[in-house]
Amino acid sequence: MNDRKRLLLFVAKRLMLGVLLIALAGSVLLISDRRRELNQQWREKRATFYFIGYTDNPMTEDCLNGVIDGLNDAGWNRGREFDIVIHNAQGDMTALNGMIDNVVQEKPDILFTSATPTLQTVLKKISGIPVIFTNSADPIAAGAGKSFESHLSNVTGICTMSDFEGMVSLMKEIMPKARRIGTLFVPGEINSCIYKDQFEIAAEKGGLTLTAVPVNSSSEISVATQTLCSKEVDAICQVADNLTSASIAGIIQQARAEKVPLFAFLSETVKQGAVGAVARDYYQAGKDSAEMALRIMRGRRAADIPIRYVSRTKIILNTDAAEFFGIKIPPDVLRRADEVTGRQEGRIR
Amino acid sequence: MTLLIGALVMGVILSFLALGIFVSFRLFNYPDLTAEGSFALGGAVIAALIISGFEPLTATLLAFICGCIAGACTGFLRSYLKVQELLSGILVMTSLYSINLTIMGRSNIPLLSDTTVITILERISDRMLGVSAKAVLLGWSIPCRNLAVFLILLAVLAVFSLALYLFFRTNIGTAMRAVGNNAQMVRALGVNTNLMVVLGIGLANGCIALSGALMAQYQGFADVQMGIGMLVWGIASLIIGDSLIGIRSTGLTMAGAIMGSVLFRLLVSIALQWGMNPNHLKLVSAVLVLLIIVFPMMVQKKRKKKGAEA
Repeated sequence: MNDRKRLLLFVAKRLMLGVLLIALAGSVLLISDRRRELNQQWREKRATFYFIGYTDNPMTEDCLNGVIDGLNDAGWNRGREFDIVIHNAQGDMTALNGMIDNVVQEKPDILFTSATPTLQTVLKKISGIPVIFTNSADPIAAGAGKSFESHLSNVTGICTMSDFEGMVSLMKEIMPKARRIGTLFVPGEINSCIYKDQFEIAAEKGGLTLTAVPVNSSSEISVATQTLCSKEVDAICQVADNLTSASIAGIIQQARAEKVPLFAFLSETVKQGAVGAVARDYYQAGKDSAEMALRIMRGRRAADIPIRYVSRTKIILNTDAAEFFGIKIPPDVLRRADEVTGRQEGRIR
Repeated sequence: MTLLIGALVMGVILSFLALGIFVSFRLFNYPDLTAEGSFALGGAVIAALIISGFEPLTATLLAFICGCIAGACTGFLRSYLKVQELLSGILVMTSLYSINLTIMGRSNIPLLSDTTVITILERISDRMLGVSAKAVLLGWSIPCRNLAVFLILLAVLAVFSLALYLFFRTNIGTAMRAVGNNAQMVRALGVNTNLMVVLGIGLANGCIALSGALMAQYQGFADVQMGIGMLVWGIASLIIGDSLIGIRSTGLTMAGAIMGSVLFRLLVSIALQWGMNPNHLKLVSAVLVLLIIVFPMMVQKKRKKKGAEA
């Protein structure tokens, strides 16, 4: 009996430590929260913005810079008229939840989100704070509303769906003989699947057929590109998603080895060796959402601001790459392009 | 306060994951990598079922069962096909990626306007206490529905872990624990160790899938990539629990895993709330885990030294 008592005591003692630590951590959290609540009351009348991203990538960074520059252009300076807190979940969905709970508590004037998982977590957890999303391929599929005009009352933003029709018409100008185009896509990324489907529709409208090869990890990139080339595509036209944009070098290498011209939807890819790109300007997406933010700060309701596409699409060409793949870019396309890289630039212009 | 409740709910949900990892890593001594796959499997199954109109409670149960099946596959590979332990988990985890995609039909399903277990809990609280009821606790006001979700989930966790504990005290449960300790001896006693591995790893992954299913319903969407990094969180929680409470008995270790999981979420929330540079988040959480492991050890050493001097 005594033994049993001692055992119970021992168990209780052990558990106590855990309970104590949890209570301690909880109260630290609460107290620092309280301090902030008080701070909030005394805070100067300066707007607070939050920017939450899901992974670190160039698209998110461009959006963020766009937001800050857009606000600056309107005379809002960081540290004077507004504060912006920047979080990034680094691909961890549990961390994302914590960050957004934090935002709920902080009650900023506006929350900017980048990437679809961020938007979705926000949609579930936030109702009272205006949310402006960027870098989201299909906000409607993500659950932000029924249409671009009729959406959740506190959510609006910039949709960065690629300009597939623009790409198809560019392809037809540069490679009039092309009939079959191909892309890799990632079944695990919702945006990649949507892009593939939308691209297929746009290609069909333009009389092209799209061949898509799935790829699941960066180690499969080379083989998948080879598979794509073996399907006798006239050109590869890579849709923009997280996996393939991170391992674009592998695609470029294989495309060069097989002499299949490569087109893309990201400006960065062109600098690395794609012939051309019709790129949504993520920096501009940030600026567009900054403009929305200013409208909200001036008293408009997010519900009244329709979701829209990025206002600017850039055509970017690489004449070196074109020469390598044996493609002649028509002069009027070159003239129309927003950016041209490559040796021949000076000669033609 | 929302922050605290959010962190606690997350801790409770991930406790199921920690329990699953406790079963495979501690009881069976089995480095089971299936976890990342079965966590996402739980989310995939629940999302697919809910959007096709299933009742969420049944769907959650089915997610648990699907996890069990996935784990049983790993166990089967190990014990009947003699695949290496690590490899068996890797094989199942890898194939689960494709299976999850097939189950969902796409890589991400939003559950924003559907009925989930969480919305059911919220509705219960709304009906009983009113929609915008707020509890006031020491000057902090908390929305009742959040509190209700937390308390009910905590109760479910308590019942679940008690059931698990009692199960490990039955004959079959004891045999399972023994397999992890000394398989050879157990085999000599006439227990089918292979079957025990299949059942045990199945059970472990059932818990993990349950955690994934709850997580998907809580965050409002299921994503095929939601399992990434979960194994590390789970093991970290388990180890925090171990160093808090020790590994003397099954019940204590289970309690430790749960506490570790809750404590870990709280610490991460504190780190976030203090406005730490998010780029350092993973490093800081690694250091936190290290501190929690090393600190009790140092205290013990000091105590021993004192004892020796006296």
